[in-house]
Amino acid sequence: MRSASLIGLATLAVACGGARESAAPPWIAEAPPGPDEPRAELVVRVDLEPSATCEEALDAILYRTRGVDLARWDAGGSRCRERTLRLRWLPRRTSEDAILGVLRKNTRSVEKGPPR
Amino acid sequence: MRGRRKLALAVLAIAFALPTAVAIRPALADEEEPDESEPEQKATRKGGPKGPALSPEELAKRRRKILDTLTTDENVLINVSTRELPASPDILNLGRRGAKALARCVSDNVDDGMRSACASMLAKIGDRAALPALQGALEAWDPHVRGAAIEALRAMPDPSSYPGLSKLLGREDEETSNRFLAVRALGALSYAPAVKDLRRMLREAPGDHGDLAVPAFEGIWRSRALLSRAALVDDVAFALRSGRRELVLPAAYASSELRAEGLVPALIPLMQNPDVRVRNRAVFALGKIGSPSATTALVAQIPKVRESRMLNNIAFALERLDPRSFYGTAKGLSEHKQASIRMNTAFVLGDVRRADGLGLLSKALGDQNDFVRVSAVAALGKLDTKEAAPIVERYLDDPNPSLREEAIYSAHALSGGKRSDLLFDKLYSSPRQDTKHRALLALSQAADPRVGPDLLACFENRQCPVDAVDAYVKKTKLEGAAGRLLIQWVRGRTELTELLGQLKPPGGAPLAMSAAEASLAHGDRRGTASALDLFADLGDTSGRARVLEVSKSESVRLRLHGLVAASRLGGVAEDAKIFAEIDNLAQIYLPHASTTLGHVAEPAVRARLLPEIERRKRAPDFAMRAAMANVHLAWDGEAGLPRVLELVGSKEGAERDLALRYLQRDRRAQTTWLLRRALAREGRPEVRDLLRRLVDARGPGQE
Repeated sequence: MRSASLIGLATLAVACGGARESAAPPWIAEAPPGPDEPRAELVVRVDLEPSATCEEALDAILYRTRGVDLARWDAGGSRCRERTLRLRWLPRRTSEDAILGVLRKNTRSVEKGPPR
Repeated sequence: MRGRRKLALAVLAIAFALPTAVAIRPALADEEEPDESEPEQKATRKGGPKGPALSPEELAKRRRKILDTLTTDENVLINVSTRELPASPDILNLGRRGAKALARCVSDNVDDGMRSACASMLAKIGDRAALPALQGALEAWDPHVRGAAIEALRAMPDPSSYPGLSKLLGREDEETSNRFLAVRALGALSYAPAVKDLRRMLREAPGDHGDLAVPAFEGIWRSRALLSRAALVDDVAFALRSGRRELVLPAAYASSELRAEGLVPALIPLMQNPDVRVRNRAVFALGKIGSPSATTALVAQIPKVRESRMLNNIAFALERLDPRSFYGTAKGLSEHKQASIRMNTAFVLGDVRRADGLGLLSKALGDQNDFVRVSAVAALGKLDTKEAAPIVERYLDDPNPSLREEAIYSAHALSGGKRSDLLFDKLYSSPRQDTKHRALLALSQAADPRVGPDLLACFENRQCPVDAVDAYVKKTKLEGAAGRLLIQWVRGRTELTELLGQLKPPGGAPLAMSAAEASLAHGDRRGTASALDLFADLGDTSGRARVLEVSKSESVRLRLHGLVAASRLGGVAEDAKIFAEIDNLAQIYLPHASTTLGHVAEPAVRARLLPEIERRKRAPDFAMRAAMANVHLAWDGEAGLPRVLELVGSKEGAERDLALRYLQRDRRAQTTWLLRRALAREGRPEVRDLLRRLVDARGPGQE
C-alpha cells in the first residue's frame, strides 16, 4: 500500500476514530461452506454476450445457484470473448451438468476444459 | 468530496489562526501523519517564552526530560509551555501511554496553545479515556481550545459527547467556525438524537451563524444507517432542490448510491445546472436509478448537451437502461454537424462494447475528419466481435500514421492479444519515440520475450512504471532481471520491495541488511523499514538478531517493522511484543500497522499470529477492529471477508467508512471476485448499495 493511501486511511481512522463498544449487528453473515464440505472445480472457456460488464453479469447469474462457490476469471482473451472461467462448486448442492446448463443459457458459447 | 475537504481545512485554518497557530505549530508539524524522517525545526517556534530563557541545548534537554516522564507522570504537562513541548511525532510514538498526561494538559494547563496542542494529539491517539477532559474543554473560554476539543471528539465519536456539543451549538456567542466543526462532530456520532438535530439544521436557512446545512447533510449521510429509507430519500431530495451548490453536489453523489426512483424529479432539473460537476453527477445518478422516467429525461437532454463528458455520461446511462433508445440516439449523433460530437459518439460506441455498434462505426470510417476516423477504428477494437477484425485489417497500412497505429492496436485486441508480431514489426521499430514507447508497454503486457531488456532499461530510466515491470518479470522469468532490479532498489527505488521479495534475488539478503543499516545511519526510517521488510521476505533467519538491533528506535512504526520481520524469521518471542505495540498504538498508525502485518507471507507465522488477530477483530475500538479485519483479509480473502462485511454493515458510520476504505484500497483480483459474490448474495439493501459502489469502481477483476 502506498504512503498516500496510508495517510488517507490514517486520517479517516482519526476522523472517524473512537472506541465504542459496538452493538452486535442484527445481520449474520452467510456461513461459508465448511472446510470438510467437498469442492470441485470446473474450468470452461466462454464467449460472453458483449457488454461493458459481461464478466460481472455472468457472475451474478451463476451465484444464484448456491452450489457455485466462487467464480474466478483468468486474464487473457478479449474482455468478453475466449475467456477462461474457473468455477469452484459444491457437489452436495449442485451438479456439473446443472452449472453447464446455466452457462449454456447465458453465454454465446461454452467449451469445457482448460485454455487451449 | 475534495471541495468539502477544502472547506473543512479552511475552517480549521480559521479556527487555529493567530497566536495559537504559531504556538501549536510544532505539535501539528504534519497534519495527517507526522513525518519522522524530518526533524522538526524547534528554532522557529515563537510561542513566546514563558519562564527563564533557555539555550537550545537546555531546551532540548528539558523536552527530553518531559518526554521521558510523560508515560509515568500524568501531571508532567500541566506547567509546560508550548516551547517546551516535545515534538508531536515523539509524543505520538508513546501511543496510548501518553494519553493521560495529554488529557491532564487539556484540563489543567492554563496556556491555551498547550491545551489546543494536547487536544489535537489526543485526536490522533484516539484514546477514549480522554473523553471527559475533551468534553470539559468544550467550555473553555478560548475558542481555539474549544475548536481543538470538538475536532478530537469528532475523532472519537461517542454519544456521551452529544450534550456538550449540543449546548455549545445552543450558545448565541459561539464562533461560526466552531459551530461548523460541532455540526460535523454531531454527524460523526451515529446517534439518533444528533441525527434529529442535523435534519432540522438541514432545513434551516443560513443565518448569522453561517450555513450549517452542508455539514448537517454530511452528517445525515454518514448516519444513514440510522434513518429509514423514506426519511433519507426525503433529505436527499431536499438537498437536491435547495439551490445551494455546496449542498446539491453531495446530494447528487448520494443519489447515485441510493438509486431511489423518488429522487428522479429532483435530479432532472439539475441536468441544466450551471455547475458542470452537478450536471454530470445528476446524469450519472439518473443512469444508476434506471427508471423509465429517468430514461425519458436522459434522451430528452441529448439535443441540449454542449460538452463531450456529459454526452458520454448520458450515452453510458442509456446503454444500460435502454439499448434500443441508445443506438437510435447514437445514429443521430454520428451524423451530427460537429465533428467533435461524431468523434465522441464513436468513442462511446466502442466503450459500450456491443456488436450493435459495428455498422455505425464502419460508416464513421468514411468520415471526412481524421479524428473521427481514428476514434472509430480504435472503437472497433473494443467491440469484442470477430466481425470487426476484417474491417480494421484494411487500415493496417493506411498512409495516415495515427489511423494505422490505432488499426494495429485494434487488430491486436480483436485477436485476443495474439497479434504481437504486428505491434513489433510495424510500431516497435518506429523512429517516433512515443509510438515505440506505447508499443513497448503493449508488448510487455503481452509478455513478448523480445522487449524484456528494453523494458528494464525503460524502468531504469524512470520512463516505465513498476507495474509494467512487475507483471512482465513474473510472467516471463526474465533472466538477469532480479539482479538489475535489486540494484535499482539499492539506489532508492523502494517501490520494488514487494516484487523483489517475491523474486528473491541471490545475494539480496546481505544487501538488504546493509541498506537497512545505511538508511538508519542517515536517519531514513522509511528506508530502514522497507529494507527490513525485504530482508524478512528473503528469509535469512541468521539475521534475526541484527533485525532487532537495527529496529531499536523511538519510532514505533520502525520497531513494528523490526518485530514483524523478526517474527517472520522465526522469532516466536516477538509475537507478543508485536501485539503489545499494536495495542498501545496511536490510532493514526493503525492502518500502517495493518499493512505491515498484512505483508506476512509465511503460513506458519500467520497461523501463529492469527488467534491474536481474531481477538482484535472484536476489539472495543472500531479502528482496531477494522485494521485487524483488514490483516485477515490480506492473508486469506475468503476467511477474512465476512468480518469486513460485518463492519461495512455497521450502524456506526465511522466503522463502516473505515471498512470501506480498506476494501477500496485492496485492488487484488481475488477481492474483486469475492466482492461480486458478496454483492450477489447480500440481503441488506443498504449494504448492497455499498457493495455495488465498490464493485462498480473496480471494473473487471483482472490483475
